[in-house]
Amino acid sequence: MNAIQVRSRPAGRKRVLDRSEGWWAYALLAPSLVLFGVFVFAPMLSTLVISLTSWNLLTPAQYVGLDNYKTMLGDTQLRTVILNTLQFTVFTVLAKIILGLGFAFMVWKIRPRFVTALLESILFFPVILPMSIVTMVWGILLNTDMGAVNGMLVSVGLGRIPWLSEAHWALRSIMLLDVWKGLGFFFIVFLVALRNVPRELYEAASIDGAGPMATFTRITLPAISPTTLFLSVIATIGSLQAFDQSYILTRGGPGDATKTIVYYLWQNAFQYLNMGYGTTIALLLFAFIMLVTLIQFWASKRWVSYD
Amino acid sequence: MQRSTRAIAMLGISALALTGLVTAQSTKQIKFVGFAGSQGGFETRAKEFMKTHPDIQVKVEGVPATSWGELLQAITVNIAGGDTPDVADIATEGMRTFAVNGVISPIDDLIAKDPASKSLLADIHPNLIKAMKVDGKTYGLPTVWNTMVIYYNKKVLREAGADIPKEGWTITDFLKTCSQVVAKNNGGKDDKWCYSFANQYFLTIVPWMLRAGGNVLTNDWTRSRLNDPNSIAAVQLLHDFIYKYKISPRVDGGVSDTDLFIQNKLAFMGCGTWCVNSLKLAKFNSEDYDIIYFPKIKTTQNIMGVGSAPIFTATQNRAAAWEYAKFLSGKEFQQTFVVQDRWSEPSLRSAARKMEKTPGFPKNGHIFYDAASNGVLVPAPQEYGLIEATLTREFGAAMANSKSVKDAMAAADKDISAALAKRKK
Repeated sequence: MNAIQVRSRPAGRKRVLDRSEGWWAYALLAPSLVLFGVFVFAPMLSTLVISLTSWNLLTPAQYVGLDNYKTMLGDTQLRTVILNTLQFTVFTVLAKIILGLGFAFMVWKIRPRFVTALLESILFFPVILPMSIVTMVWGILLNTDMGAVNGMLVSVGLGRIPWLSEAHWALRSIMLLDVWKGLGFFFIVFLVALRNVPRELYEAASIDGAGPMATFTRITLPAISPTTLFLSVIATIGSLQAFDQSYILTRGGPGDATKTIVYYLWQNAFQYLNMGYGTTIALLLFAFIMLVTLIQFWASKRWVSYD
Repeated sequence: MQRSTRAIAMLGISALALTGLVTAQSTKQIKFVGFAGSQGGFETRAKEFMKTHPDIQVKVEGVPATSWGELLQAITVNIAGGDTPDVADIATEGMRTFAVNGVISPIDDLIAKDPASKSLLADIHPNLIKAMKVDGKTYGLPTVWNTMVIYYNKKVLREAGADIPKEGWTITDFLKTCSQVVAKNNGGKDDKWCYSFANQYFLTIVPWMLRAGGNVLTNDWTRSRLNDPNSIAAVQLLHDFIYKYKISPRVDGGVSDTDLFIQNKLAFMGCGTWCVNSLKLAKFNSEDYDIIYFPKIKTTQNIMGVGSAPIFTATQNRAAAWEYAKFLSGKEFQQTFVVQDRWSEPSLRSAARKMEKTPGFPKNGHIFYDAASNGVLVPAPQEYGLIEATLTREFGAAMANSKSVKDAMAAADKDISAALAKRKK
């Protein structure tokens, strides 16, 4: 390994670095490798080691082999939180992608600059608010017996909805909060992508007689597909790591109705002082996120166009 | 000449180094960890302590936490990271966890040879001292503590034509008053509520269980009592407050009972000493409310959670840590910081009596300290985090009608019993 092979123009032809160039390359890579080693690789390795122990943070950890992994297999509460997290992820990712693109397309089509700027501001506003503050305000608004939302529903003759006080509504409410809070980012990124689609493509499609639907599905969607992939990957990772909404709004309840994987991980590691099991759940989540991301990238070969 | 100058310089440097060494040896440094919200007050008092103890340097470190449980978690994580304090603010919720893991050390030997601590203990209720014991050993001097009482809103009761509750009231009296408070409710924004409660271990579940003759655990904290009919009856009663008697709003987030109380929409709320401050900060006149014990169902037991400043086993300055721990339970600290702070009850009876006379304190304020006579320590063994989370999970499910009360308590009993069974003998 005294030399590094690098691609050089023209594409496909390789040039072998000489020894001094190779050392320079290593030297320039070193800061990044050190940072990666200290802040990513070492914590990951220690997480793996801790998952093989029983550790309450106060006394030395005891090696327990695969006990934590065996516990995980029989943990019914973990199954519940995985299902909650999957429901949350599927709904919020789809909603943010579809609504984000829908709003972006609508704003992109509107010509008056004032209206566009106003809609951009309104839709992006929730993104800049801290999640903790937003969550607390939603808690006040969605209170079943005293919240403003139910107050309005009652005033128009509708009944009260137990937004956060009944299990089947609570997760939906948290999903709605997440979509409302995150939609603006998706909207803005899609809008930028739409504005960057070359006009010549639309002119060519128009000359060829393509209708609005064909233009959207054959020109627009493929042209912004790298953006869609990027957004779906980060949205999926973010949703699988959801924590603060349910921690602040419902403390994972009622029962386990809004408990997510990260909430359960935190609870085991820091509330129950069972760091071994907490890190085991962290590794499960890591593996799952990696798997989902790899699937997304693999599947993207079929629908993402970089041309 | 040059040689002599160098010799003088060397001598000077050596003298300075020696002075520094002597100073370092004579000044003992200790670190105290407490709530970040009270850091300013603690620092002020620490300066006063250092004036009278010039040989001890106290560093106060505030941890952002909103409950004793969160403070315990933060200190635990710091310990795991190699940052162990010498003394820390620890309540019942954390004392046994730290004691059984050997993180804090008993202080019986220090008490035995310190006459000043004995005079302090004479001014502290015996039940508070008892709360400091784990397996027969004393792990701290009580500093502050809290119980739960019912705050009643006189205006709401007056408007409902209900009587002011009297000492010795029962659950029948409570329900009768409540029926009067909610009599005119029509589902609109002017509705009044009689009693509002949250899904909270210390604030709601345990106080009602104690009054109903139940509890979460047995007295020795070794077995669950959640299948005890009295414990189930307490949870069923709270469920009935919402769905049968319709005197309580659903267990929900966003709007706290204190908010409703301040808005004159709530007759009763359960709270500790800290609500005196909350109401004062909200400019709620102390003439418009007072306090009374929870109504009797089967017993008149009161919940207690006691704070102390235990000494950590890893400390290098045990004697200095003891002096500071003693200071936190001492008269000077109690009668100034704790009385002015008013977020908790002082451990010294004399300080509590002083606090009761401060402006804005409720007329029946003496019942806070008197509650210790019938006080039962909040069940908080080394599995506290799991027990609290499990019980509130199942309580929440019952209050949301996801499960029946009996099924929810059976599920909590099963999980808590399993956790207790894992305890090392």
